[in-house]
Amino acid sequence: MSDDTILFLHLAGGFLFVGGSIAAAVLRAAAMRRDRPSEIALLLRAVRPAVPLVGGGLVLAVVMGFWLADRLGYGLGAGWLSATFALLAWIAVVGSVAGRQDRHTRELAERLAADGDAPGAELSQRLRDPLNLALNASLLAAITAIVALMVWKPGA
Amino acid sequence: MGLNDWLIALHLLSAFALAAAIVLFWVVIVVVRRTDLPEQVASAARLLPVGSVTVAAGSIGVIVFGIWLAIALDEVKVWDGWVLAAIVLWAISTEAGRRADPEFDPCVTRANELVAAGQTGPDAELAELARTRTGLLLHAVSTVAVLLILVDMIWKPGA
Repeated sequence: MSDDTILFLHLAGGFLFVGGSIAAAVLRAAAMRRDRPSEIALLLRAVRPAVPLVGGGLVLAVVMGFWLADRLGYGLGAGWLSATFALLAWIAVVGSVAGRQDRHTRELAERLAADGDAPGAELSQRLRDPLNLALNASLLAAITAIVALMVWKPGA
Repeated sequence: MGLNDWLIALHLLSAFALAAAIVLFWVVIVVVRRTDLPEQVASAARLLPVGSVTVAAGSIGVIVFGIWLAIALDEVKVWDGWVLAAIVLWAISTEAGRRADPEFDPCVTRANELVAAGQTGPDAELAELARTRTGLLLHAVSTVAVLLILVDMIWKPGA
């Protein structure tokens, strides 16, 4: 495979990962502004089509990124690459925790929607849970930082 | 970091914004096509302004910083074939995206009218409007054009 093909797949993966993540964040934020469980369930359910884009894009970007770094002679111990790996590990761990919490919130919204669709305090609390919001915000910050590291490559 | 490094960075960041907006539009289209409930269509449609702002920022940033970069770099000329191809593809993508937007307007209007009238049950006309083939096709054309721009940027045919 040529360097150009690897770069294309690396960038395509990156665009899918970042695009899917931002779409998911917008949907999550929009759900917070709704009261009716059916609307909240709809928006949180809409995150699901973006999940394969985020996961597939991340895998593609990382695998092709490793390959590209090797082909172009970038040392994997370089500061900007080490920082990227640390951020990716953070995204993997925190993403699975926050994702599980959001799935439980969606399931609660779906139950409430099927049971009269009346706004509930528990659903509202879960959507505004400070820990979950902090985890989701840290994911966005990590993604932004990775994009910045990839674009500026500090120290390279 | 020199001016050209900043231009490349801003060009790439704009491309990420454009990609994010395209994914968001696809999510909204999928949601709207899967339901015939007015409240759900109206709820999803409220995300469209976020996508519109992001796509505008991304599209303008990509073309402005891209052309600026082509002028600033000695080895690239604005009239190079691959640069012209990118500009044409950008125009196709932008126009297709712009034309896709009004295709969904009747659906959103219908949903809002039904919600305002207190009709929350399934609506056949709404479902038909939501499944506009023209809107879907135009958004697909816009997405494919962006993908082709990425191909063009990497391989730079003729350079």
